[in-house]
Amino acid sequence: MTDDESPPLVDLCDVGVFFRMHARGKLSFRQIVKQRRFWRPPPLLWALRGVTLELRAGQSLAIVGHNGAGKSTLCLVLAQILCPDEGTAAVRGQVATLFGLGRGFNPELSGRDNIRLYAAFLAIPRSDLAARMAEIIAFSELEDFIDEPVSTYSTGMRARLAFSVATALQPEILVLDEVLAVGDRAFQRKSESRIRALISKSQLIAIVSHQIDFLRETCTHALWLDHGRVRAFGGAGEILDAYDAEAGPPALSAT
Amino acid sequence: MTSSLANLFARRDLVRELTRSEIRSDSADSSVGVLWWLVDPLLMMAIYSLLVVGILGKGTSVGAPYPLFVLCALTPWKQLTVAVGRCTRLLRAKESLIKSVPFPTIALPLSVVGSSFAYFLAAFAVLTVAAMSWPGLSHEGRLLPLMQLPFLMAFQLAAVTGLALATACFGVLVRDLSNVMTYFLRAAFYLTPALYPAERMHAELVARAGEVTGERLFWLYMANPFASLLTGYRDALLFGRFLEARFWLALALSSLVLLAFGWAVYQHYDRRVIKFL
Repeated sequence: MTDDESPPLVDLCDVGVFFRMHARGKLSFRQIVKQRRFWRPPPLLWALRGVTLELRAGQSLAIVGHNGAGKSTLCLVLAQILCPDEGTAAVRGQVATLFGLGRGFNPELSGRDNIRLYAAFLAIPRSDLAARMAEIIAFSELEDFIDEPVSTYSTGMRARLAFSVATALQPEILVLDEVLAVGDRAFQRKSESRIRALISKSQLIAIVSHQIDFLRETCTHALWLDHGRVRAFGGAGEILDAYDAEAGPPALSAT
Repeated sequence: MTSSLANLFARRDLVRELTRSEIRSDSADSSVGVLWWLVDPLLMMAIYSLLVVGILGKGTSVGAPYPLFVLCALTPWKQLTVAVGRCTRLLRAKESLIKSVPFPTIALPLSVVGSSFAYFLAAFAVLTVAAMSWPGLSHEGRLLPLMQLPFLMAFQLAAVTGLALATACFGVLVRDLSNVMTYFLRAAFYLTPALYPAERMHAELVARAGEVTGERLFWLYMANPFASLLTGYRDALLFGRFLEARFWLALALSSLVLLAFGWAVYQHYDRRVIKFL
């Protein structure tokens, strides 16, 4: 395999990210008078610490853990939205995220203008966009409304438009925070198959999800986070089994 | 993705698209659209002219019709207040976008500066035509001093960009900044030779603080890039002369320092700011 010789697409080394806890840094008036100081440094909360991870082309990573374990923070680091406070994070390749769809929309502009704007946010080159414009509009099924302002769209229509743009280009690295299916039933089926197509063509995928079965069939590797630290990392089957065993059955399991 | 110059260049499409969408949504926002940028300085001009000339009986010694004199200041000042005012809330308003899409966030304040500058240009073009066709002005139709305008505008753009970048960051870190900014800009407006000529301040300072101290205070006063900028616009448009070399120097230094400051602040807080959103 040449995979082991090529540089890894994602190389995290001892990564740590902290947040300051604002509320606890504030002093009451009485404390200010008594202690004669106006400010104390707020305590740090390490959302991630000591995470070392190497991912190569062809791998797909499932990220699991309880709420607040640092899964979303790790996604932000992988997408290079957050820079680590300690350690280093190298990500080589075009990253696409499929969370917060449509947040870049300007509701006063038409659907067509928003496709252009959102595509610019997602770094879709203009030449590619011109070629794909018709396909994006067709996939969103919004042909009749595409020149109307987005403020007149329903939530479902906005989601369809955003999804169509966001999935128009094949990224090298795909980061999914909770796999999504948008729109009505018919569109959900369409979007699911498109996500699967994206996943199968991406060089590297990182998925946060609580749907263990989906992760089992999609991912080669799994990372189990616990209070911001790596609890276990390895082959998907083994890690997910262990996580499943500890987390217990899903709350709404079929009887 | 950091807001480095390289990333910004790589994503220049984004800055262009954002600026365009800002302009379009502004004009979609109101019925008169872009015209508002002309109407607003004109209304302010009417108010100040009424106050200064009509009620206080002043403004006759500025060497040009007072309405034009004030308009030379109000048009660029509006770009400053709009750009800075919008930047104080900008990153907070775009929080969810910043946290979900990797892009150099500096594109957001830059597009606000860009769109406000485009409107400024439109308003200023009208002002230029008015000043050139106004009868009996002391420029006597001399066109050569108009060559100064692009350079003055470039320095204006630098100063406003610097201030906008810094306020965009501080607006996240300091929650009450947008309230404070309103008063700061108002005070700064009166401390800038907008309603009166800079020479008036010079004469006043020398008369009150003595020759040496007065001169020093005056230079402190001119350290405000808008002080020499507004003087320059008036020299070019109304008086048909060239801005003094020392004021050019003050303008270049102060606006470039402001730009460097804003850039440095943004680079420093760039990704850290996200945690405060």
